[in-house]
Amino acid sequence: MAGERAAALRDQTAIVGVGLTDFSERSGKTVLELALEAGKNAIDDAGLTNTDIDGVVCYMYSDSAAPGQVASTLGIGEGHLSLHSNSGGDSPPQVTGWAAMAVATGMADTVLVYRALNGRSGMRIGGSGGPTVPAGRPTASGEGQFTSIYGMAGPIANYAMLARPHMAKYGLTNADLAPVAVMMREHAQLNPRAITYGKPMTIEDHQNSRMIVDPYRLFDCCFEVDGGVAFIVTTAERAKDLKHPPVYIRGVGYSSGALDPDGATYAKTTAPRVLAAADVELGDIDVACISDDYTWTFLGQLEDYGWAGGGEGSAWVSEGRGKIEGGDVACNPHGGQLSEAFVHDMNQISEAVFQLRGEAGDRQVAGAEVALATGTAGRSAIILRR
Amino acid sequence: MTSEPSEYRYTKPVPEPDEETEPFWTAVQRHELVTPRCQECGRRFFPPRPMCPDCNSLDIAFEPVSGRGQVHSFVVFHQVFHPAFRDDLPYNVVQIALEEEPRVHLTSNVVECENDDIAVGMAVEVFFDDVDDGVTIPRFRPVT
Repeated sequence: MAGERAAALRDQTAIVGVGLTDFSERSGKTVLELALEAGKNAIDDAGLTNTDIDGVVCYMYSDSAAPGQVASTLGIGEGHLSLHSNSGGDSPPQVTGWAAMAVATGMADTVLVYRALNGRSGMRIGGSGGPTVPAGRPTASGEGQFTSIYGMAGPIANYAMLARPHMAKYGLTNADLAPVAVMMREHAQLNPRAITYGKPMTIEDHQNSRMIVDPYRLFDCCFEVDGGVAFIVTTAERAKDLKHPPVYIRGVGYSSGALDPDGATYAKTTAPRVLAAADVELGDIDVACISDDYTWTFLGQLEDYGWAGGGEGSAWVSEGRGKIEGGDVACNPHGGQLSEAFVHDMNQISEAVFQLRGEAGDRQVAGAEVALATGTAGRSAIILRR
Repeated sequence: MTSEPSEYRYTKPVPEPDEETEPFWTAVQRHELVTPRCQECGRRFFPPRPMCPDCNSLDIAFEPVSGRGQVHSFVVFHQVFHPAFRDDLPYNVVQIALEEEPRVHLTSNVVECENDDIAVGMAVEVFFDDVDDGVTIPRFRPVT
């Protein structure tokens, strides 16, 4: 059983450093500078120095600083391990899992994981097509010959297309997505780092926001920023001697390719995997940093994990069951991708770490011991514990 | 946005067939909708690939479908994500589940239908939009 083999990874490694840059709409920095800043902050946060790092892990969509450049500029040692990807479908729980696998198997001792992008002021994910229409007419090759010829473009449309069958099945409308956005915004008001700090939102505000790709309005979509996030992963043994209480990696799950048609998101496949890998039950999770790149993908994962029944996620949220205090499980206490910032779900993991360390300030979930963080549409997941 | 004057009537993107997809587009030119079909196990799949995803046979041939199907999903663009479609806003993009193989989803547009009237499960049929000389694009319309 894969769950039994996962015991080889369970609790063997820990996140010992977290580094963040400011999140803004215009960083005024290059992606290399953002990566270096996040990386240096993470190394400092761990109480380590650059020469302690012997591995680098990252992923990007041609929108970030290359790992070789980051490693050499930070002064990470020669002969370091480098694991990286420049393709779609990767996400922070998965790549943090790579770092954990490398450390657990002795391929490296102390690994830097980073993601940095000028996602707001620079290249937008899925960005393509300049401001002009070429003379003559454009052609579409590859997969685009079946999609972009119809006007299908941009990442939002893909996740809007994913939402529709589920929403139709349960009779959900855009108004049913509003409580998710409002909850995230409410949580962000306790988080000075959040890009929407000081900007509360009501259901009416959500409904008044312009439609982008139906069924998603502006406030159904994550808040793109310029910024960077980095982690340091090392052995559980070493973690005990560093600056902060260790946050142990219990388990990782990932699923790619086609979705399970009985579920809403990829979490239908990933949820049982990560729970088995971590050997925890749903009820053990105190903090759920569920990827909310879109309001609906958050709802879909809520159901796929089993906190809410099919089509019942919106009511679950409206009933306050995801609140920081007094709910079934505290969801995205930092405001998530919708209201803290969209750093491609890296900051779902950073929030989980802060919560488990007891460093979450006004938004601290009391007694947090076990946290879940997921990636886009539930594709990947990681469970951490203190 | 600036657009330069075009010698073409149709200025939206047109498909660029490759070796794998050429039979599909040749059939579309004949106003026929086809999909790859595994000659060993009968599985239809899309987009075209050299191998059957079920039994891994390389014996693939393109076979016609009726052109009928149902709307599996749809979105409506209200913001420009592809500059060539700016003048069409708001426009729909749909995924059609084919009658012969509901696991095959074709991306397309639904026409002769208000965006507000599109619904998951709606019955549609293909029609062939001769948009320009030598360029035909399959779209769908509601079955009346």
